Amino acid sequence: MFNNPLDFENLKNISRRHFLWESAAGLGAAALGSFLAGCESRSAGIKNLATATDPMLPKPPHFPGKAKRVIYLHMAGAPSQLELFDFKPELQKLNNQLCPPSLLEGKRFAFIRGTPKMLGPQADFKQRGQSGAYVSEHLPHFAKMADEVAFLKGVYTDQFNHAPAQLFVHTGSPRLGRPSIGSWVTYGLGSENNNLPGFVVLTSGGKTPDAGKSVWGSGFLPSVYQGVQCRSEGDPVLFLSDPEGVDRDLKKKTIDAINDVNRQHFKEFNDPETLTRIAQYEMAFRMQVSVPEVMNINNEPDYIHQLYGTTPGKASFANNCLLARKLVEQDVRFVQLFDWGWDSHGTDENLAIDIGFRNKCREIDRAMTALLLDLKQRGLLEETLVVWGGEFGRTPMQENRENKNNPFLGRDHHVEAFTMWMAGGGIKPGTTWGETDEIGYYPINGKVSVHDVQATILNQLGMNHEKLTYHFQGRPFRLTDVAGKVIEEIIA
Amino acid sequence: MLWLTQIFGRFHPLLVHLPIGILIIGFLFECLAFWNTYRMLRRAVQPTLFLGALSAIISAVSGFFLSREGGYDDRLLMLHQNFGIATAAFATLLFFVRKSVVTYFPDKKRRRIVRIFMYAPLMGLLSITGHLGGSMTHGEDYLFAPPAQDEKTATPSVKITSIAAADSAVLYADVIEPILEAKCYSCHSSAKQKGQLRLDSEEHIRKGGKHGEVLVRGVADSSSLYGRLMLPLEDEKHMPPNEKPQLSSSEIALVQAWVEDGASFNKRIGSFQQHDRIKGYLAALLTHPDKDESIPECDVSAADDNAVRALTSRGVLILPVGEESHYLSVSFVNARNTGDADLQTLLPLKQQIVWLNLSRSKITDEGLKTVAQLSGIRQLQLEYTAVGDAGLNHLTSLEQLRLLNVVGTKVTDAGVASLSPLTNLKKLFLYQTTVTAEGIRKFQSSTPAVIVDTGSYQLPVLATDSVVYKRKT
Repeated sequence: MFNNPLDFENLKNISRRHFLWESAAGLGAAALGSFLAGCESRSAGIKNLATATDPMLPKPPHFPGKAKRVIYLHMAGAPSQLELFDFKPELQKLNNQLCPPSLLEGKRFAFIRGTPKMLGPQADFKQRGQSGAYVSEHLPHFAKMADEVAFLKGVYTDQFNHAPAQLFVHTGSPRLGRPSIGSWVTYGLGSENNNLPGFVVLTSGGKTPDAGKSVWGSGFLPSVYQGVQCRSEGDPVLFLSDPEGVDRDLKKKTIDAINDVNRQHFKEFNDPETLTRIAQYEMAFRMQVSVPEVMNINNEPDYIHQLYGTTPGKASFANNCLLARKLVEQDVRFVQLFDWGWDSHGTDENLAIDIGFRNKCREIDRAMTALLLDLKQRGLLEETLVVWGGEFGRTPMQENRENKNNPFLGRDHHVEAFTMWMAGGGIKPGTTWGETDEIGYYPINGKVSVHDVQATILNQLGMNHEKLTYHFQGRPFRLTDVAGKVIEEIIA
Repeated sequence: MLWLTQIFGRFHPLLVHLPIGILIIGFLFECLAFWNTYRMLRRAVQPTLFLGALSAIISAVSGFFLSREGGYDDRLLMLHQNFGIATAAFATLLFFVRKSVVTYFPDKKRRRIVRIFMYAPLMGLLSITGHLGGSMTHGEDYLFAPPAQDEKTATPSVKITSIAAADSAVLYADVIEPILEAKCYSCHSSAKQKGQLRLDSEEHIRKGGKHGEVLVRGVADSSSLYGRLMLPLEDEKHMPPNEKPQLSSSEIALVQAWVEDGASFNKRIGSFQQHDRIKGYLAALLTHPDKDESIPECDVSAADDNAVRALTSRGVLILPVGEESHYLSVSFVNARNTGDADLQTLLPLKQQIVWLNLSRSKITDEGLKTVAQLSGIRQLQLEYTAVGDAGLNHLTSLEQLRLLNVVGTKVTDAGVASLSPLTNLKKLFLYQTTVTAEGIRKFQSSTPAVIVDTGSYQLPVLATDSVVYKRKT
């Protein structure tokens, strides 16, 4: 009946208006209605006052922040900390021995059943740089960056399945419906570059994260704050060129006319989603010029391609890293990279901890090292916070799916301890915070939660995670829920 | 029965407010009743005094029960108790003798004045008792102490100043004791002994408190001195209490290491088994955040609105560096057509601008003459502009400059050399310029503190870069 959902929305609006104006208590109801509507629009956040016309208008942070932008590298599937950063020689001694029951009692695993065997580290480790942080031979290039980054070795989560754990890491809640961290950041700080989206998402590895687009969704925030996903192969954004016979002036006039109508609509109904629509039309118009330049890595010199290991036109994590640098160089606020394929269960060759996992390591090693170096040489690392991590860690035990041996070596999902690293943006370089026990099962100190990590990211941007709130369904919401403590130990 | 008196005792902090309020209102009624307009209040004074005296007695009794729980400074407690009893006694006395004034002072006016003066000792007693009570719960220096320091700005309390000297320092005296002093003494020392626990000497720490010993040597998890720190913040037994300044993670880890090693009171850090770990935490504690130099410490006056509006209308991004600061960050990211002449509009804001981003704009060396007048600038970004050596020459007046980015400009050795008078400069980015290694060496000989980054990083080609791992067949 209603082919266009907007028509349907309109009909609903009219019927409510008819009710208000024509019912017996018309006048009183109208007064009450406008009063309530007033409350509602104000409760949509104090910041709305400033952003009544442009939701992306830059806003000052709560306090002067060290970082202005974030590049978040998420390894979807959860890479093994025990083969990359958390060196556990004791675990090697226990290799192939049965896991003691004390580590299994009261625990639930995604796939481990019965009594699994312990699995020693499947990588050689060395201490690197001045800081002496352990980085395995799987990351020969990144090993040289040990003195540039801060490792968090005792991160823990409470979700052992990919989708909820990814949601937890990115939205602060394992359930659907909350805004992602990039949305919170653009809501809190706005976007500096008028011609580009404030929150861009790039994916690699052949699949998007298990949790779907909700990991960069805007949840209950106005949808203008959601991440803009760019295609990883071919044109990053489709339909940028004007259709034949339509020149840019005509297009501009068309969009102006549409936006005028939308603005009237907004005046009447005060729906923030109308603002989103206006902003998107304008953004799309400006992106026609800005995007082809920024999102095109063909123009980069050869030595940059060599540095990153990029092949233009081919979807890869390396290309995305280079794009991320180009985007933050243009003051894009939050760039979110997802790389899929890290779920090393040992169920097939690609997911084997000693085969496919090493290929994944090779794919990211040069690219993420290059990203850090390139940001550094351009002075961008001063103001750009780079975060790397998965959604959880991997078990010190070898996975035994259905209590049988898996065909390849692999590890199950581990929630108690995993490693993340951060760099730039006011993070103390060359530090390690947190330590796990002899087999990497529990953190013994420096234990930090997912909410702590989020609080720290916001802190580096100059935002107090307890003050960044949005009123929804009768109460203010935060990214960090009612938890989170800034990890002062890794702040310069 | 015991628990009843205990609960009654714990009502003391609530009950004490009754006699204070009621007796003061009685006094005020008496004062007002001096005038005939309020003479009806005279009849209210006697019942008010009755209630006041009664509540004072009840408070005193509840206070007595509370004192039996212990945990308070004896000297203060005795004083508070005696003054409290005196207050109750005097209020009762006043209730009984107030009326008899009539017999001695037949003159109405004089009688009223005498009555008012009879309250003087009572008000005095009341104030002293109240103050003593306050000192017991909030600490003796509560009233006149300077405002509590912001947790973030508080410097670490340890007595070690450098890690190099850590080995010969005594872990307890130089590290643990200062931590306890900063975070625990306010409730567990001579002034106050919550839970009958004192932590201000070896003897007291060993003795423990109401719930027994707090130290199980060598077993941190069983020692409540450490265990309480590790409870969730919202747990009632968590120490320090939720609203008090907390120990940092490094401080907690140091307490843990100390207990695990046997909680020695005179062992030097060098002889601890885990001395490397301890030094690691000490290092984390000592490298308190570098003073943030990116903005000045004192705030300035607010920026001129008209000047801000003029720039904003041209697409220039002007924002306070933080919500509560007047310092401004200015970026031309959306106004890249800006040329040299347009920069004049920045001058009215020269006191406020601390960060200026002109990268990829159309400014030239000429424009830097104007920029040079913005004397408060601490970060200046000029990437990919047409500026060169002549422009950098102008910048020597920017004494506050901390960071300069001239990536992708025509700057050469001569331009860099002209920056040496900038004594506050910390970071200089020179990637994609023609500055030579020799030029940097010369520059660094006079300014060794500046971190110069010329970039051009390359990663070696490794054999493993192209190895594709496959199943062994």
